[in-house]
Amino acid sequence: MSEPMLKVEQLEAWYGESHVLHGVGLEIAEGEVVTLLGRNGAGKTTTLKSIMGIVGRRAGSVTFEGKETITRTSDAIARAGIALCPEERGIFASLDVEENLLLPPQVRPGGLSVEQIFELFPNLRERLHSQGTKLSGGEQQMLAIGRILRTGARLLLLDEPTEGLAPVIIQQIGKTIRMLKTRGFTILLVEQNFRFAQTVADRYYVMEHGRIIDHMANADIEANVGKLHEYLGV
Amino acid sequence: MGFRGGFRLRLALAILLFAGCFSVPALAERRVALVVGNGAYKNAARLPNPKNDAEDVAAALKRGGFETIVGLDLDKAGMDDATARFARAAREADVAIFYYSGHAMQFSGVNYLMPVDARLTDETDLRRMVRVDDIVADVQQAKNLRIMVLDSCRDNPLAEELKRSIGRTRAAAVSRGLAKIDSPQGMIVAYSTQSGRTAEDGTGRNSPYTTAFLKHIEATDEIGTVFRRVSADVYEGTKRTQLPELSLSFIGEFYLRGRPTPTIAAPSPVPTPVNEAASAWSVIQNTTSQAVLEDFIRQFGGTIYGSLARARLDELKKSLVAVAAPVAPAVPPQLAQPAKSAPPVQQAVVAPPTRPSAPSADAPKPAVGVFPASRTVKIGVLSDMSSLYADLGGPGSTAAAKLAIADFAQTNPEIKVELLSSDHQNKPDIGSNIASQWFDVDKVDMIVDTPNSGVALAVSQVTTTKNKVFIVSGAASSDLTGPRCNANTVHWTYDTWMLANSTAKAVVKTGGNSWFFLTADYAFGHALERDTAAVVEKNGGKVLNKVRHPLNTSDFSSFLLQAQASKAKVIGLANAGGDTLNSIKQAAEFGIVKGGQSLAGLLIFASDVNALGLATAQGLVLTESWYWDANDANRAWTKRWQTERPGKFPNMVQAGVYAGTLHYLKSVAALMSATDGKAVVAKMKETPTDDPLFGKGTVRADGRKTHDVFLFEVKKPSESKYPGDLYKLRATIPASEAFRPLAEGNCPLARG
Amino acid sequence: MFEIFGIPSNALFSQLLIGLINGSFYALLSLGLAVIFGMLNIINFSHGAQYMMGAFVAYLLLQYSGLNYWWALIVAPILVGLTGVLIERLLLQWLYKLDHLYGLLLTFGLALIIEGVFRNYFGASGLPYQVPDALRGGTNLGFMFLPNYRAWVIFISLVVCFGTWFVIERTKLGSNLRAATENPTLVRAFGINVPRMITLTYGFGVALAALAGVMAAPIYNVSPQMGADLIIVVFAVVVIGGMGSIMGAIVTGFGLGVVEGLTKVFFPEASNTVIFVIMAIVLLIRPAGLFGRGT
Repeated sequence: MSEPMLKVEQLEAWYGESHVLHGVGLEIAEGEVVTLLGRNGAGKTTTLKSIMGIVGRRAGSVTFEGKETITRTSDAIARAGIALCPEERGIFASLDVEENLLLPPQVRPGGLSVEQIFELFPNLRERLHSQGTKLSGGEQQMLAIGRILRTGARLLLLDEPTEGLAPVIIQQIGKTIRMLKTRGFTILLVEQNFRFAQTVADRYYVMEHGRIIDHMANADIEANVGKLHEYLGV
Repeated sequence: MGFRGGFRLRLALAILLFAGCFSVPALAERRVALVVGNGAYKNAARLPNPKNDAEDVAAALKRGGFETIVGLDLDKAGMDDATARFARAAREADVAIFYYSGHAMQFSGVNYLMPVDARLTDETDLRRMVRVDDIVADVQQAKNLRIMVLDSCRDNPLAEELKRSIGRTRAAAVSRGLAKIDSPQGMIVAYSTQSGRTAEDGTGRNSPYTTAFLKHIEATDEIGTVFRRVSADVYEGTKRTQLPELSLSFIGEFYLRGRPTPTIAAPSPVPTPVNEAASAWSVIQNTTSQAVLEDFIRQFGGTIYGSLARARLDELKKSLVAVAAPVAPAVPPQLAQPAKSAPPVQQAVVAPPTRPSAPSADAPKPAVGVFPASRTVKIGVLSDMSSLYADLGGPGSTAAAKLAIADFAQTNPEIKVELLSSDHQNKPDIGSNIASQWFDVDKVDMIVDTPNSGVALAVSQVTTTKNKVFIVSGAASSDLTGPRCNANTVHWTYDTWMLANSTAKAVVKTGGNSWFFLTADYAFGHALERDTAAVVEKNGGKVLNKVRHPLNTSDFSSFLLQAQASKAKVIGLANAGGDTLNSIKQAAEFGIVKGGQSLAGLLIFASDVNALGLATAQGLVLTESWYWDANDANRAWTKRWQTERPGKFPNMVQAGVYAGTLHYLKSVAALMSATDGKAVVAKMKETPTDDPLFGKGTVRADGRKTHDVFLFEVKKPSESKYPGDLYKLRATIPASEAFRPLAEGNCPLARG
Repeated sequence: MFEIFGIPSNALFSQLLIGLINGSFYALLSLGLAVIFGMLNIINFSHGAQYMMGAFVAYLLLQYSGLNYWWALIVAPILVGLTGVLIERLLLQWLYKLDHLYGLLLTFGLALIIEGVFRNYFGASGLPYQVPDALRGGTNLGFMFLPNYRAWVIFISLVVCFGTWFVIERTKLGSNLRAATENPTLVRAFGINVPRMITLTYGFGVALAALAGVMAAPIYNVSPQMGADLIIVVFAVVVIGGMGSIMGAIVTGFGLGVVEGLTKVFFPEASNTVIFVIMAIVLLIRPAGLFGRGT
């Protein structure tokens, strides 16, 4: 393992006048699942968006597979091989399930086929021609994850995939992420629920007020439960 | 993205769209009328006419949109009932009319109408009568316009009884005829005769006054004009014995039937403070001195009191049976409208420096013998430079005027002439603002061209008020030399009457004797249709039907289908501009001409024929008064004109600008002055014209320039040998026949 | 022949057919407008001027390159569509983040400029353009004479309308467009070049307007004002149909053409205003339009 797949250094970001990220730095190696933990408003989603290039203004350095992406447009970044599964899923109401699924174009070979996605999420096959937003929360989440698997992107940015979902669905998502890891996907996961994160992640960064304030490996979690509780205000 | 627009956006859009389409005519006006005719008197001489009068007038008013209460041979109870109902109705109304035909009398200065059961043994019996003042109060309740017409003052037999009963000394209080009614603000009061005089019964179905009233009440003219005409008719019809009295005291213009083209009537320059005029008027209103009245008119001519003064001057002159002086039509002035783009007009009415404003029949001679070297004659070409009529007049007119000035300089190099031009954008308020500005600030002496009748009428009004000169070449309305004529305006090239008469007559004579009209639904289209229909019928043709389309319609298929179904031999297009072009183009599509019907374009110019292309326009019959290719002189002039406007051909409007400007300048040179507009125009009328373009002709008393007029047919594409070769000549109509006869125009200048 | 409400049936049917023909014109024009507004949230007030440009390009192609009507049907929309692309890239793209009214003002100003330039150069009266030979003449349907060209207009309108609807509702391109209408940022983050798609969509809407212009040239007077007269009615159609609804624009266009045609029979003087009366009523009852999807 030489260069990390994703390297973020001194990342700053603004929404209009407000300065939301202050010198964020992190690294992800290929094949890892890394989690960004933190309270509401800590800057986790903003970090993902900054990596994806859809935040208002950003500065610093984001290197993906050795190439600088801080100045590139979001579609260029997507085409480089990064895919985003946004907070609140982003399912389009004016498209049906099939159209939603097929919307993101293939940017690299090696993505899952539609059949394989149906194997992962059989519900989608049943609801193929329903309007996208008529699906349940859990089904929408599966759709949101499923569609970016088809693109061939190797780095997946997942923003709070378990939020508001029933435990049984959360388990299914956990299973999915672990399966993806075995297939070699690299995942940057944003979560508030660190118990879930524990079931999938290799490493953790903790954010607060737009900064990275701590960093630990999976092995260290149990030892730091108390600290984590404090960070997350649980 | 996505439909997040929200309500505000839709609202804005809706408002914008409504602003764009706002062409809904003002129909919501409520009109009420009370018409009473009392003839079957029990205790007085019976009168044969009032019942007929009342019926006929009521019918006419109903046609004019009035809710009419009719009372025939009413006794006191009946009259009270009718007047009560009328009072209630008038409260809610915009316009209210009371028309009375029957006996009436005066006692101690108070006027009474007599119901059929009236008897007069003594004064108390006056309570059986109906007081006119009460009805005046009722009529006053209407919001916009109130009219009272009393066709009475017949020989009053009951008066004798009353005189006898009250004794000789007081008999004087009972006089013949009726006292003058005080006309409160905002009313028209019309008497069939002067105060203190009696009126005739007449021998026909209706009294002389009612006959005249019925003749004019359905005209499309402004209400003041209508009533003045009625008065004129009665005066003539009774061999100048009975002169109706008319009192108008309202602000604004009112039309019982439609408005003339295209939109808002002319705002006059801001009138002098009304208070001053009002107090002056209150002092002199009963004067019998013409000089006093003329002086008043000179000072306050632009106010409503000016109109009253003019009306009074009229009456005085008529009653003295003097030589009828031409009177400027007293158009009640508009409240000055705020200018939309031109700077607001600030000057008050400027009295012409040395001349009395009551014009007399002979033109006053100028004082100096040589044209002052420092004086530059300024001419303004006021035209549509940028939109629909820009090809008709526009920069081509400016080019034509330049040529006229150049040619004049050959013969009169000592007179300096300067040319201005401006764009009236087809808006009467902009046009009249530019005219006012030119006259007042830039010292322009003459304005020429002005296509668009609405603008021309407005500018004509401004011109006469400021005593300058206006030569109309582009506008069509025959009203410019008709009821709206004045001593400062000359109408040069053509008008609607000439077009209708020449084209329609020729078409009917060559077999097109059944017509279907496709008419633009506004006053101009109606007028054109009316004039043409009259000509068709006069020449033995028949009008089968008509359809009215909104102005600026793009698709005529539905209307053309109706025309086809009518099987009329001729489809008359009483429209202009883009509407005409679309009608013709689409008629070709629907195979109308192939199917045997023919199209008569009542207002088509060479530029329209160019726009259509010969393939579509071939066979069209039209009338123009000048064609570039008609003779060598025209061709030579066209070449000169084309140095300014390469690639284009001049049309009759632009030729008219040249000829009119040249004649004007020659008249100025002869008069050696350009200051007095009326004098120059009088000189133009005095001098026969002979110019290279229109040949010999005259400018008539009503301002109409007459010249020969030509009926053309559009050539087939195969017949056209070179660019601009559009027409072949079908007939020449001599000047004496081509234009409306002087007497038929209702122009006051044409009388006497 | 029988009578309906006092009008002979012949006349009624012929007017209905005429109404349908006019409706197809309205549908074609409002389609472009609906696409632009629905997809881009731009109120394209220069639509009328672009329609006029289509007609003028057809005339110019004939005059100077000898290309006839059939060529013009293809070339003119492409040329005018390209000008649309230019307008979007140079001017419109800066306004997306702002209130709708800025786009309206800009396109309105453009319309005035374009009209003024054309009028300056070509004059106000209009230019001749003929019905192409292949479409001359007509058929006698018994109750009326139907010019072939008018039948052609209905045909083309239906084809184009259906085609556009199909592309937007049933193809991948269409689904990209629809998604981009909802959430452009996310769509872009998937790797789709959204700005280019917007540009091309605007160009397509403009091309539709130009196509309508070419179709109009043989039957309506080709003058710089021709767009201004029609654009107000087209806006009313789009508002009634529901801004952004493709199907709404099409159905309403045809429907209102028929309504207008009937008005011309029963009450011709009001035929100009009936569409606006309907618009006012629809806005009061269903502000989002008949087919609109609401905010």
